[in-house]
Amino acid sequence: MNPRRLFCVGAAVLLPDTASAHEAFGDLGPFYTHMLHPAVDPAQALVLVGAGALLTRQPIATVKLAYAVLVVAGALAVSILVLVPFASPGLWLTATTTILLGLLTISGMLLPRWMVCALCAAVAVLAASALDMTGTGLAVLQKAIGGALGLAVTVLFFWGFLDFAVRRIHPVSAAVVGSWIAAVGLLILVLPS
Amino acid sequence: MTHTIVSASIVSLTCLACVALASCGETAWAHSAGGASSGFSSGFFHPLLGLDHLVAMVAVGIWGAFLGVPAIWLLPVIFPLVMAVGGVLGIIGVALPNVETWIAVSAVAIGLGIALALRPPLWLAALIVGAFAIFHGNAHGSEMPQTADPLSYAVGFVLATGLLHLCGIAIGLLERSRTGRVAVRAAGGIIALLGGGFLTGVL
Repeated sequence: MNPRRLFCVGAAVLLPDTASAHEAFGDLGPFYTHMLHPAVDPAQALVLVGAGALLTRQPIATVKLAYAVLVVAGALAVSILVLVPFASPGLWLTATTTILLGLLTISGMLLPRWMVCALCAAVAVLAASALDMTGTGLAVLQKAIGGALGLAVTVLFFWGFLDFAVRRIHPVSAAVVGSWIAAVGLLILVLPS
Repeated sequence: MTHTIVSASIVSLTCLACVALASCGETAWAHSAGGASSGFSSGFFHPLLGLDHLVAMVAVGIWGAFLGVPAIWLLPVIFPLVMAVGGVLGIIGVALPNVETWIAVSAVAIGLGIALALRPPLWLAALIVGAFAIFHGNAHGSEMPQTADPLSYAVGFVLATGLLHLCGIAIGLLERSRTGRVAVRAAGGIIALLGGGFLTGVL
């Protein structure tokens, strides 16, 4: 390497604070704030990750249908939330759902298609209820589209990630992640409110 | 040639400008992820910064790999689940006796299991790992309610524990070669020694 470049790199390394000197999220606007909501709300992310993990253990035909149901249910739930605001059902339901999804993922059981669809729809509604849909006009529209897209993208991302791990690393990778999901669910079930 | 000199000058100037800007970095310090990130990082680093937890978690992964299929995956599946039970006990205020001692014992026992190439039946290995997992979980769980964001803390420490198991599995897979087998058994010996150090208070 060119010595001058090396010197510059060395000088930069001596100032490590710079690497942390950026805004983590900042004001992204209603669309991106709601799209990235699962990244800052672990409760919402947990059920979505659980749904992605569950889908990894199901046949692709079931996954296609269940994912479509999840996307539609998420969009509907977000739309209803705009019109009729309803309170988030509480952490115990998130915990119970997470445990169920984790245990089903560990077991690797091939579930009936209707059951996977029902679970995905329930997850979508539960995750959507964590979104704040107050406001008016264009801002609410942006929140709704961002929120619904965020749910869909998160599940798709984790399903894809785990499916890759299952195919390329080991088929039991999903069971390992399922145990992590169930463990977190069990812990948050008893968290003080 | 001229092109090279000009490029080098531009690179140097750019680097100097970057260094100058970098020296003003303090004012831009502005992370704002809030309680979620602090809870997560607190939970994530709890098993990583506690050397007793760290060596025991890695040991579980190594032992699983050492025992082969299905233990290689079964132990890392069982451990988080049973650890969560221990964590639940900690959260609701049930403090198990001598938690730190049992954590140190777990490192000694599993380390010796690897060093001596012990291959117990699967149910016994699962029982041993599960029993120790309760104490690890209890230690994590008893600290959880005091954190800023317990939910993120739970996610962080379960994730870190799982990743440490995977690190252990990666090390344990070296056992497939003759040299690797020696290295893995030596690692087991070191883990047992570290556990002994925790147990006696030397470390």
